[in-house]
Formats: sequence, C-alpha cells, structure tokens
Amino acid sequence: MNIRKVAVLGAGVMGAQIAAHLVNACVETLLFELTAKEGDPDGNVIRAREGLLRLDPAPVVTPAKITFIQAVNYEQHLDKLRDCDLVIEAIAERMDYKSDLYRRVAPYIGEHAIFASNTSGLSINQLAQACPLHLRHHFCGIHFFNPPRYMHLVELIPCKETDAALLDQLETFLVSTLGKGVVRAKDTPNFIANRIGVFSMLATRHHAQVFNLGFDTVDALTGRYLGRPRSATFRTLDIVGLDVFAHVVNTMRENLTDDPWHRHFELPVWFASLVDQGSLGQKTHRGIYQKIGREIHVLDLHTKAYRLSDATVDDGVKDILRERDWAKKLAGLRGHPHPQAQFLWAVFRDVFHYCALNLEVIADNARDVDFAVRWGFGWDNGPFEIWQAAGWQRVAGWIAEDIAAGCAMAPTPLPAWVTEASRTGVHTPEGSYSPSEAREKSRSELAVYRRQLFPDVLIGETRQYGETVFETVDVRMWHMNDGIAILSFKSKMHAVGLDVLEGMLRAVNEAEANFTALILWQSEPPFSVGANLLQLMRGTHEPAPGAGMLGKFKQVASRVKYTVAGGGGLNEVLDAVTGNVPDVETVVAKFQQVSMRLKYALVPVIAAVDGLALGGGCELALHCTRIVATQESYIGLVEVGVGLFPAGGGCKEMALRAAREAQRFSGDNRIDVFPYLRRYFQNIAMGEVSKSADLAREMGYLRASDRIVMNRFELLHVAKEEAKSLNATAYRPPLAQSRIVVAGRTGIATLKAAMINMKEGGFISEHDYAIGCLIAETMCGGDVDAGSLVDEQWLLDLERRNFMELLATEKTQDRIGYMLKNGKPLRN
Amino acid sequence: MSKQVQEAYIVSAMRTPVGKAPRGMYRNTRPDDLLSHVIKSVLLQTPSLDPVGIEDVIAGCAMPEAEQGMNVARIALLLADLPDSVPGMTVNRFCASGLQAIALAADRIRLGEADVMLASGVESMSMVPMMGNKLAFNPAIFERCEHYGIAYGMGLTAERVAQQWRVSREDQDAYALQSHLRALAAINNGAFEDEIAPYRITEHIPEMDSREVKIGFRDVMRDEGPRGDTSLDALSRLKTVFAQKGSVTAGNSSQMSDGAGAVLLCSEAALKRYDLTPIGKFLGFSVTGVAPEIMGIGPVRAIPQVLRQAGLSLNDMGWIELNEAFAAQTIAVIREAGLDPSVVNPSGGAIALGHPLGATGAIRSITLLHGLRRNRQKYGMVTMCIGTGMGAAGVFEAL
Repeated sequence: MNIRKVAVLGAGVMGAQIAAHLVNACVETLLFELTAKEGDPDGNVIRAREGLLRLDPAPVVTPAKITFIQAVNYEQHLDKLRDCDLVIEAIAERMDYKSDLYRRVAPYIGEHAIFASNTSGLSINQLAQACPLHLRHHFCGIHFFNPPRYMHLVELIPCKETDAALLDQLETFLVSTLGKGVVRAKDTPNFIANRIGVFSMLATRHHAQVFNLGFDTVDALTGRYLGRPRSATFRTLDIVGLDVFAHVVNTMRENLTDDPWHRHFELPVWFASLVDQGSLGQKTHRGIYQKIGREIHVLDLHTKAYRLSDATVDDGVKDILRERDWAKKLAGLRGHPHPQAQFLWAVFRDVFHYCALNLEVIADNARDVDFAVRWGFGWDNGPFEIWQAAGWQRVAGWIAEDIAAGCAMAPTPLPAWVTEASRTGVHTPEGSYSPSEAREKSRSELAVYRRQLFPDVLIGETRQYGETVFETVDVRMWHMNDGIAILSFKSKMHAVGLDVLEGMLRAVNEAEANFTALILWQSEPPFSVGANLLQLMRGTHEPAPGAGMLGKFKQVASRVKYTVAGGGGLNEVLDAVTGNVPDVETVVAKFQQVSMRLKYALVPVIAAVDGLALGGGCELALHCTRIVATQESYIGLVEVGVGLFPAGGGCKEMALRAAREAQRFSGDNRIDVFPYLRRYFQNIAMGEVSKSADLAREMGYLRASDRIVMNRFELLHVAKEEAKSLNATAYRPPLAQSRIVVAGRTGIATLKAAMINMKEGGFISEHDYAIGCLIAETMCGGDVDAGSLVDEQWLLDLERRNFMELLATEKTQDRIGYMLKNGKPLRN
Repeated sequence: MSKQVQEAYIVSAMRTPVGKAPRGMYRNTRPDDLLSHVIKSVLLQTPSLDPVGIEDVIAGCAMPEAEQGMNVARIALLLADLPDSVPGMTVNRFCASGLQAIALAADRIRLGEADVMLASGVESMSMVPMMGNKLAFNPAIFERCEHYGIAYGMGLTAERVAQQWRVSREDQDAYALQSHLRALAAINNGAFEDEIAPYRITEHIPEMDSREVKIGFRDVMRDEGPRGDTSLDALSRLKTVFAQKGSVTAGNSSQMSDGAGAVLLCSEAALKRYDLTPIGKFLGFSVTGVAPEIMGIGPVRAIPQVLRQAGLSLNDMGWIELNEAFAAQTIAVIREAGLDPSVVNPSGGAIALGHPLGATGAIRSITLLHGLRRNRQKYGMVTMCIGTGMGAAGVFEAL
C-alpha cells in the first residue's frame, strides 16, 4: 500500500509538528482541529500553522512548507478522511476525549487506511476498544518524540488485533519516507523510551537528594560527560515542561502498581509546588531554572529561592568522566569516595537494574531498548550498551552486591539471565538478547532495511566497511564489490588537510581506472567542516613530533581545529602563516585542482552529505556530479568567519551557476548576470548556512538534479543508486566552460554600493568590507567590462590571487588565530 | 532677472488617495492608470476647456521604467482619451519630479510659449522599487572617496544629517507622531475632500473554489498611510534600519507609497478663452545642490533662493509643505532655515501620508493650494530634499 495522503487529528504542539514533518517529506497532509468559534472555521489550524514558524528549532525545512498543510475542521471536512491512507490522532491525553473522537471519525476512515494514536502513555489496547471492531485491525500506537523533525525515534505499538502486514507498511513509510528510526514496543505504560528515560530522571532526582547535590551540579555531571544532551537532566525537564513530566510520572504511578520501584514514582513536594505556581519550565520562562538577564539562576532547595548557577565538578571526578573507556569510567566512579562519583554510580546502577528487570515486559529485545533511549532521548549510548562495554559480569556483580547491601532503589534481585555464567553482554554480531525467547534476535528482515547499508550500530555489534583500496593517515578508499568506490575521511570532524586533498586526487585516478563511480561518504556526520586551518596556513604536512618549535605546533594542531578550543601556541601559528605564504598558495592551488578533478572525472563523483558541509567541505561537494544530501544537512560557504573566502573553486562555481541561469533567462540583447549573482554573493559574503537540504536548494547550494534523502542511514544506498543511474545513461563529464558571462566592473561597483551602506551604517567592519570587495571582484570576474566572457581558470586564478591578498592582511590573520584559539569567530 | 511675459494660473488640482507600498491598496494598480485617472479628473473640473488646447502634458516620475516607463506621460494621456495631438513628456528629478513638472509647465506659459499646460506626477513604488529594477553603479564612484556619497542610501544620509545637526531620536519620534496626528485630524476634518479624486480599484483575482476569474471593484477615497494606533512608546521601540547605532527608524521615515496628482495651468488669455476661474498662481521655482551624503538638508539652500526670486520673505508664507523624507532632515531644515514649525505641514506629511517619490511634488502642491484657499491665506511654499544631494522649492499664491 502506498501512503498518498495523511490526516493528523489535533493541531496542538505535537499534531502540528507531525503535520509539518509530513509536508517536509512531501506527503499530502490534512490537519484537523475543532471548528473556530469566530471567523474562519479553520482558524484554529491556521493559527497553529503560523505558530510553527515561531518554533526554534524550526519544525519545517523551509517556511513555505507550512502552506502545504491543509487546514480542515471536524464539522465540515470529515468527508475528506475517506481519501486518507493514514490517520494520526494527536489530541489531548484523555481517554474520554479520544474515545469520543474515535466514535466520531470511525465511519469516515477508509477500509484500507491505518488509524494510529500518537499517545505517549495511554494503553493502545484500551484505546482500541473505542474503535469499531473492523477498525481495530487497522489500529496501532505511533509515538513520535518532540520535536518530531529532529528526534529520530518513533515507537510503533500494536494492539492485540493489529494486522501485522499493515504494521510493516507503516514502518516502511516511517523509515524511508519520514526518515525515522522505528522501534516496536509492547503495550505497557509509557512504552519503552519514556519508561526508561523517565525512570533515569527519577533515579537521578532521588540520588541527587541522597547525595545532596544541587540541580546545576547534577546537570553538569549528567550531560556531555555521559554522552547525553547538554540539557542533561533538570534542564531537559524545563524544556519538556514540568507539568508534562508530572503527567508522565502520574501515568507510571497509576498503572505500574506492581513495579518494585513503584514507591519512587512520586514527585517531591517542591516539584508539585513549582507546577502549582505555574513555574512549568521554558514555556513559562521559569521552572527549575530561570534566566535573569544573561545569567542562569537555579532553584536551591535549601533556601527555596533561585541563586546564580555555579556548578563545579570535582577535579578528580572530572578526570574519571573524561575517560572514554566505559569499563574504566564506571569502575572509577564506583571506587571514588567523592559524593559526585558515588551519585553517578548509583544512578547507573539503578538504571541498569531497572532495565534488566523490565526488558522482558516492555520490549522484544535489548536492542530496542538501547535504540529507543538513544533516538528518543539523544543519548550517545543506551543503558545496555554501556553496561556491556563496562564489562557485563563485573558490573552485574557490583549491582548484585549493592542490592544485597540494601543501597539499590529496589530490593528485587537481578533476573537470572543477567548472571548466566557465559553471558558477556546482550548485543552480539548475531543479534540482541530477548529474555522472552531466551535467545539473540537478529534485526528486522523488513525490505526497507535493505536500503540501510550501514544502519545505526550498537556497542557489541561488529561492523566492516567493505574492502580497502588504499588507506592513508586521513582517508580510506574502499568498495563493496559492486564496482563503486567510496572515499571516507578519517580526519577529525572530517576536515580537509593536505593528506585528504592528495587522497582525493589518488581516489579519482583509482576510480577512473578501476571503478564505475566514486562516492564521498562518511560513516558519521559531519560531511566535512572545511579546510584544516592550521595545515592550510602552514601549507605543509605536519612535522614529526618533537621537532623544536614545530613540535609545539603539532601539539596545538592536534588539539585545535575549526571548533575545538585550545590554549597557547598562537604566536607560533602566526609566525608560521606569515613566514610560509608561498606554500599556502600551493595548497590553495591543490584544492582547486581537486575540485576540478571531481567535476571533470570520467566517472560520476557523488557527494553523500549528512550534517555539516561547510567551507572547503561545501566546495568539494559543489564540484561533484551530484550531491545526495540528507534533509538534515547544513551547507554553507562560511570562510568569511575566519576572514577568508572560498578559494577552492567555491566562488568560481557560484559565479558559473549565476552565469548559466542568466544565459537561460536573460533577454536576447545583453546578458545581465547581476540579478542571478547577487544572492550567491550574499550567501558567501554573509557566510550563510542552510538549515536544511531544502533550504540549501533555495540558496543554490543544491541544484535541481541533486537529491534529498530523509533517512540518513539510506544515504549511501541512494548515492549508489544515483551513480548507477548516471552510468546507465552513459555518463560523461561536462565539457569545460570557456564562455562564462561575468558581471564585471559594474557588478563589482553595484555590490560595493550595497556594502558601503552597511559599512557606513556600522553593520559591518572595515575589514568585512575589504573581504566583501575581494569576494565581489572574484565573483564578478575582475576589472572587466560587464558581460565579458571568461573561462573557469580565469575565475580560479582570481580566487587564488585575492585569497592570498586577504591572507596577507593582519586582520585576517587575527581572525584565523582567534578561531583556532577560541573556536568562534572574531569580529574585527 | 525674470523674463516672465505673463502669469501662470492654476485652474484645477486633483490627486488620488495615496496608497501604501508595496502591499497596500494599489499593489495591483498600474501607475499609468493612476496618472490617466488624475488627468481625467482635472479635466472634469474644467468642462469648458477644449482638450485640444492642451499644449503639453508633463509628468514627473522618479523611477521611470517598467510599468511607469515608456514615457508614462504620453501613455497615460492617450489612455485618458486626450486627442492624439496632445504631446507628453516625463521628467525626473527624483523626489522633486512632480514640482519640477509644474515649474516646467508654468515656465512655458510664463515665457509666452503656451497657454494651456497639464503638469503631473506619478509613482508606483509597489511596482517599481526605489532605485529601479536594475541596479548598476558606475565603478568610477569607488575610485575616489569623494564620490562614495553617490552610493549612499537615503536612510544613511538622514543619519548623517541627524548627526551633523544633532537631531535626537526623541525629537524624530515626537515629530513622527505629530505627523500622524495632524494627518488624521486633517482627514477627520475633511481637509482633503476637495483635492482627492476617488479611485476605483479593479482587481482580477483567480478564485480557486469557483475556478473563475473574479473581477473585484473597490472605491478608495482616503490616504492609506496615517495610523491611529501609533504612539510615542511604539515609535521609540522600533529598531534603527540604516545604522546600527543610529536614530532613523521605519517609524520616523517617510512611507513608501503609490499615487498620482495633476494640475492644469493656464495663461490669462486661456482663462478668458475657456471661461475658467483660477485657484492659484505659480510664482517661482528654484533647485540647488548639496553634498550627496547630506542630501536631506537641500531645502535650506533652495528656500531663500526661491523667496528672492518671488520677492517674498518667510514671514509671507502662511503654509509650507516641507516633504518629510525623514523626520531627521525635516527637523534639521526647520531649525536651519528658521521655519515656523506651526506653518510647516499643518495637515501632516510624508511620514504619515506617504511619499510616492515622483508624485509627491505634485500631490503636496495640490494640498498646499487647497489648504491656502481653505484658510484664506495668500502665499505658500512646497519644498523638498532630493536624492544624491539636491533641494527644490516652489512658491504659490492662492486666489
């Protein structure tokens, strides 16, 4: 069954955002809400639709998308449900409201349509009772996480009668069309992710009280140090809304009366009083935290007042937390006497304990629990993975000891399967453990997963990325015996240094000789954050460690790149720049050479972009035959941030695209490239980054022929299919452009006119203006008559010359130095 | 040094209501239609005039291209069904274009070359943006910093004037509020009723439900710009647009607008021939240049010049229409030229009523003539600053 049209019932926060994500994926969508009492009967939906534009992060990939959400109401438009293949109910979490609505809409839902509830806690089987019998076969739970565009997880929960084939169809749609990660959950209160995630928060709160730690200290400990979102525990609660959290906990308390941890499903008095006062978190501007001016204040339980947040993590604990090996990390925490360490161990212990005891009840297998928590709560690793990585039996022993000693939150012993002598974990290359079937269960056989050549991987699973063609320090070229070569970067944040450039040249040669296509693909985002500034500045390979001053340099180089902060060494950096200018020019020339090789290779070259593609990374992608990008791609030529501009062919390529558009659309007499060039100039001069792949297309970084993929795990598959289709049509590279029309002197003057107003108005600095002028000169083809014809090399030479001019300025050097030192741009 | 051989009388003066641009009531109304409408309207006031006698139609337009290109004066007069024998020309002196058109028409009469002339101004900022559809600056501007001012946006020049003449943000906002209050009072008192020729807007809208083209009509008779909901508090909270640490905001600048106005001028001989009653007399015009980066101060030089020409003093002026391009420059001009604030823009100005660039000179002359007559005053002046650094002023006598 194809899902052509979807109806979402309820235009609240979740309903509207689910509708937004459906139109993001180009699915025809109707959004239902109660008839407005005054004015336009669809007014409630229209207001909800406009509200989407005010949310940050944006639920729609481009603002224009909201116009595709069709506004309808229950009074006039129930008839329209008949054409919908999927109906998602997302109204308030009340059994009575939902039952009423189901009775009302049931007669209009098509015979083959799927009817699904986005409930986060109500029982699916109980909800099914409100559906007429014939509809129950088509009914299930479909639990999206907020914000639905960004959270990968969707839990699918069948009721007893749900048709299995239908569920498979829905899963296929969610995975491939909407790009989501589906976990099948059992019909238990709060399903999987919230059951575990909320327990983890309750345990964290419980132990924070026991160890007398402030909320800000707890957040400092339970955020990035544990591979979890920066908002950690209590700030996450503020974002979720304290009332929402209270509701979820309430669901657990009312429905999990047999749970050994039941007495912990309570919220303390202070929590209830915050809710009573209307201090619900972010949405009311006050909750556990409060922002006063620029300061963050936190509730202090001792004084019952807000105080400046000043969390400090103990140095000894910090050292343990910096440890990457979970075995050492957990052992360190357990063995350290500091309350912060003891607190963290206690939380881990109780979460592990809880997961182990509930696995059989809530999920089919351990993989589903780990993915649910990872995709629904943004943890880098799920609880079972961490336990396994830390040494299964050893950790199980510690937990058992603590239970015996009475310090665990519940006295129930670990289930027997946990302590089986042969057990080393729950995830194996063959599958993940399922207590109900007492065996390892492999992944879903559903056809849609064949599109995921490298699905998300768990600790304990093995992964082999094809066979190596060649491997250097920073790149690896490999293949999967299908004639298509893949080049992956190994550098940090996939930055482009000299080794990457040389690797790319070699890869194109190899691909032309022995393969049918070349794909640039990274096993993890980002695609690339751009040129490795330090290497670029020095223009040479990194020297051997310990070689005098340059050795110190190497230390800096290993610590700082685009975004990573590091101290000291700045003077050396600057000396290296100023002393080594000719070498830099060689590197820039090499970058341009690589770009041109990508563009004119005899085999199609495909950039598979996911996440950031900035600066030099963007330039490489722009020169590929095709870009295949995930919707969550953030693409931009951001070089101005460090006082530079794109000189690896980026300015040239955008000027060329403007010329091509002008040649197509201009009048007969005189081709005026300026109106087409202006937007591209602005993108580069302002260092603008797209906030989605669709926006990248609007900005001109993606062409009409480039592809957008919703699920990042399908990216490589689509890139390969694109390569095959290019070859099926007898691929040849384009012929070299020798008649590119440029905007010339008049174009430069017109851009300068705009910039001088910004400069005089104090919106940009003197140096911003100087950079802008050089970008204008480069993109307009230099001091030539408007409408002159030049070739690509002409533009590349301008790029290189003007780039070197800029690099020689003190202010650009200051900007680079500042970025390397502080990881953020300097305005000078 | 006057070479005048006869007086130039004004017989009729009519304008359209002014609409907001680019999303106001005229967003789909063509400027040549607006101009054609005001030409017809002034002639309706003078039924005894044989249109064949009109010796030229001069239209002022600041961005004469696209919908208002192709010599919009000639196109509009033909659309207004004037005889083929009536010629037309379009003139451009940016914001003074409409006043310039009146001055040129008056001069043909004053020199004895013509007896009946039609002067007008038109602008659709909804259809042709400020600076036109195609930007293309001369590279020579950037070869010498003395020329940078040519590239300055108008708002930036207002910031410069505010700085140089020390006009505070508070003063600008207070002035802006006064402009709205005066304009609203004038509208409520029916002050503009005699000068406005109501316009019927015709719209052709694709109606998705019926799958038909819906032709809609709307009669407009009121200026769209003045806002009753503005306040000093609201104005003071607006962000500056042209300079980060400046004082000029969207609230204390003129509005972008669409509109047109026309004035019929005659010699004494023509008054007699066609049995027409004059409402005023054109006494003189002057225009002069200042540095482009302080263009807003232009009127300060033009005002004494035109007064000398007319043999009058500021004290003789009962009503002065000083175009409010920006509150900053309006205040600076009032102070520097020593104008009496109570006679400047008694019925509000461009901050409230809008500034359809090339039409403004004609429209404000029309307001002046009707205003002087209503108040039984004798002399009045229209003056404005002009982009790239100029100032113009014209003196009228009401009859």
